[in-house]
Amino acid sequence: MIDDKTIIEQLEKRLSSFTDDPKTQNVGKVEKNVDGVITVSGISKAAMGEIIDLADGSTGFILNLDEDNASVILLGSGQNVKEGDMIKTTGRQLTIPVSEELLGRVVNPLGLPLDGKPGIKKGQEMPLEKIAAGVVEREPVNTPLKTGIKAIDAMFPIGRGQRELIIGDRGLGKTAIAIDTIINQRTQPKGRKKVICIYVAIGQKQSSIGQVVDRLKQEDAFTNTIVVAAPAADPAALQYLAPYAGTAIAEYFMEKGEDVLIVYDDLTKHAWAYRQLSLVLRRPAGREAYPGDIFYLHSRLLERSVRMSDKLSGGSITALPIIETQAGDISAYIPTNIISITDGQIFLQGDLFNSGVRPAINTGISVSRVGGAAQTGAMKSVAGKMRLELAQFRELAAFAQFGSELDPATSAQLERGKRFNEMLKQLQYQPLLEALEILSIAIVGMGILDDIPSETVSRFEKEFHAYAQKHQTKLLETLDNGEKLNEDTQKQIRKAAEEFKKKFSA
Amino acid sequence: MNDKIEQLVQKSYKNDRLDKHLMHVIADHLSRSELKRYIRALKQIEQKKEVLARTPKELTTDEKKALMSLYPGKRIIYTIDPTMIGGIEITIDDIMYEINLQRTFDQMVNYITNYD
Repeated sequence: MIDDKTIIEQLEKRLSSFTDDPKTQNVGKVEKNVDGVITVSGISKAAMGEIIDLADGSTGFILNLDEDNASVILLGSGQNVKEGDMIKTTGRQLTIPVSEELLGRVVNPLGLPLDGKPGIKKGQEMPLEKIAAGVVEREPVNTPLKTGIKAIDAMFPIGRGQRELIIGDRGLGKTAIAIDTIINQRTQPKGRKKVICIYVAIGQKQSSIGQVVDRLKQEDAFTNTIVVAAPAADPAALQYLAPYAGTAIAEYFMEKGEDVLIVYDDLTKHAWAYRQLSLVLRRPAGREAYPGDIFYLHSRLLERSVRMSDKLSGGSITALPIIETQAGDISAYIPTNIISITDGQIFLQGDLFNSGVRPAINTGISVSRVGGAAQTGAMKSVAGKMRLELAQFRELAAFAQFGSELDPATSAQLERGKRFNEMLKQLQYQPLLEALEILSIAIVGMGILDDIPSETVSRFEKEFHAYAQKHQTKLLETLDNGEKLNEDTQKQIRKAAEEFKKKFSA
Repeated sequence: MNDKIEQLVQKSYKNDRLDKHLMHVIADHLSRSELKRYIRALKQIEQKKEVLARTPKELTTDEKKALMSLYPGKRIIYTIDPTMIGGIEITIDDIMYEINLQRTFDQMVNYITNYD
């Protein structure tokens, strides 16, 4: 129990370092208040992006500087802002307070808590806008970031520091892939740093954001996760700032040497919010009424996802931006912009989803430009063969539709492809450890499942995983090492699978 | 166009004071957009001629004389705001100089509250 004397001493000590000099501020007057944007006169010394304090206590920031006035985007509702109100510049750019206390929290783009808990007391003020690291400051992407989803880790591997786009129509599982990736970061293989996850919800329903938070808590993946939420009910200004706020938080941890995963869900709504702001600011409208700098909006955001060189911090930010297409049109304006910025895309297809292939990844047009550099030797040795087999299967599948008699080699190829497709199906919220992924791909690639009906492949795989975790722990440890599969390991896998097959009832 | 408006604005003043009759004559001959620019320019000039002084209580005669000597040739408008508690706030054009005791107390509370 602290006594009065100690409290007074501490207060005096604290106040001894307090200074208050006369303040000089640049002031102006509100001329107009329209649609969340106010036009102000005066403030001749204001800078672009500077925060403005309004008479009713709310804030805004400058997005347009004209000859005689400036346009200020309000960060609140602006209902109490009247013509003639005085406004003051603050000399500050937009920042967000960040510290370790943010882990396991839900905040808005200004850092204010949305989860009912108290706000973070002290934090480093990280700028929302920042120039991305230069070429010399970067390191090549060569460390895997495991999603726990077989199709992605095998064929479109993601590395730490990469930007991989998730693109598809509504309701095909884009957010599901991102959430599974976050869940998979709760455990890391030996020798790999933990990954801090940031989920940025832009223009989403509040119920959806709530479901995501609940699921992460259930899967014990929320303690290392931060949610930055700007739901659909928020002003367009907050939705515009949300991804930058998330990136500012990610940079705080990256500068400390941590690896960070950031999900932007989704950048289509982000583009819509920016379009709304630009139209209200009377900026010239271009294609699809987007402003001329819509590409720069996303390029400057995604370029901040980087793997820093070891001399600087050695940390990284891996970005998973999400884009929603309409009727599968990936040649639309915003999708093509983001595709050209990112280091690959995972394309989800509606007809695959409807036919039960989930995750509904189109393996033909999805790509990861980092590729094998972000894979362990073990995964590379099994995944390469699978990719080839699947490519051959896709070509032959068209012939199978004719119903004509096929030669044995073609039939075998088709059957192998079907088993690979069955094996690649995966339930939501069940990311796999790398050793189990390698095991699954290896047993199909070796032809061990060729004599098992393709409809039972999923059940076989699930039961085999349980068997391996109980009886083949040494084998799993070997696979975890990441080294390329030698003959001995392949024999062990075959032996274990054949043993289990005897017990498995199709 | 702006040069024309600037010239008209300058001609609207006689002996450093706005001639209202002249202002109306000029205004009658301007288009809507020109009139908007003319009014804006007049407001800017008038703003430069004014000094706003906000204090917690009425200033004494000597204090007012001291202010007038600091800003010769300008019109000083006095407002009283008791919530300031102490200090003075002077606004010239778009620059505000402020010593405000209420703000100092608020900052002090904030400073102590964020003590670690």
